[in-house]
Amino acid sequence: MKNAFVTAVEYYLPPSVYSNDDIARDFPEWPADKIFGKVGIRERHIAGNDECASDLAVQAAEILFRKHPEIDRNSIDFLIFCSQSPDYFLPSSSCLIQDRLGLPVSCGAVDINLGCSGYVYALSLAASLVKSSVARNVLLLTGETYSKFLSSSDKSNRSLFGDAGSATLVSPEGKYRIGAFAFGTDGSKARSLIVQSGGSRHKEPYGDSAKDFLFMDGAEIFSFTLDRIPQLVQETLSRNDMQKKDIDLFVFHQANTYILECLRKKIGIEKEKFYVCLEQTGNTVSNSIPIALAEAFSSGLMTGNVLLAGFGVGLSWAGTVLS
Amino acid sequence: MEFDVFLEKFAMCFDEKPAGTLTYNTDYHDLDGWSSMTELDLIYMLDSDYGITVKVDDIRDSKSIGTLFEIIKKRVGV
Repeated sequence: MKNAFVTAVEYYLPPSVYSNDDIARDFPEWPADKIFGKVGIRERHIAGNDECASDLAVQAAEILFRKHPEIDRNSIDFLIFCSQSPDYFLPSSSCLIQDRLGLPVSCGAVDINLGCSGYVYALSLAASLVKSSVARNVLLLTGETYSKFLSSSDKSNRSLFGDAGSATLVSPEGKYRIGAFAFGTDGSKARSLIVQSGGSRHKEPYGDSAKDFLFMDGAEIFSFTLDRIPQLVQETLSRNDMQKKDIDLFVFHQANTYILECLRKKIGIEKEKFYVCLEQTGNTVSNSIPIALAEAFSSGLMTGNVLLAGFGVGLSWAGTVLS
Repeated sequence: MEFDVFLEKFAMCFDEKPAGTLTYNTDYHDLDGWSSMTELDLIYMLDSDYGITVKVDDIRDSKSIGTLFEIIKKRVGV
């Protein structure tokens, strides 16, 4: 069986910024320095009113094609778009993106509806397509606009989430070989992070902001994270025949620095090996890992073995190693 | 598992030490400074210092520090 590699990763942030000073203005009881101290975020980029997640992903893909002229868009034979903010109920956003990017009509295209674990899941599918020779060049896009799910009065979530798009090319050759994956799902806790109205189960608004906007039970999510993610790291290492000491860089979903620091301490990872990259972006859901990877690439930190761990809404989690 | 030690660790979960004396019967939900962040700090303290993943409902349903202590003591098994 062939190997699959991450060949290139780029991302796009919408220009509008919601800073800690803006939050302190909207919520005077929540001073800017306290926000940064708690969650490690200074600003979040927010999509415009007419800007969809697919628009952010298309921008990221165009950046990828521009910065990597060796990548011919006509060579893309499969497109995966990971988002929980589709343009329409139907058709799939990936079909619209195929046309907007001018990808060949022979290209396969699918949407994946996952959040913070989504990038690693989508990477596993992209790698499987390449390894099994079903596809040769898989363009993996993520795009998310959680800001549109947030109540204007929800200071906690508005402090955390930012919008973004990312583009990754997965091919049979490249620098970073994609290793084995570990996965997990616990749907019994789905209501810990949910938008209840708007879907087929309840199309009309409830008239209750806890149900019509994004609801997150921070304590439940934190408890799940502390319980499951150390196991996920262990399982990911084990499936790749590695030990913790073999990993040169850990890139987790960039939820917030509070959760990341608690996880780092619990798992016992040295600070120098634990990548934190959310100060200027916030928690960008499925974009957070590719943004961190792109920054790590450009900073020269991507050497040796890099362990990725995504976790969140679902509840859902997944890990892999890039080598 | 000593209640005094637990109480000291519990108090440290607050950003600012709560006014008055914390006791076995204190209803912590009524304390100034009890917030969603305190809840997270408490979950982390119980995980790191006692090695248990607490049920969030146990924190929310316990009527006092003592009630929570007894649940944790049972879970820890000492």
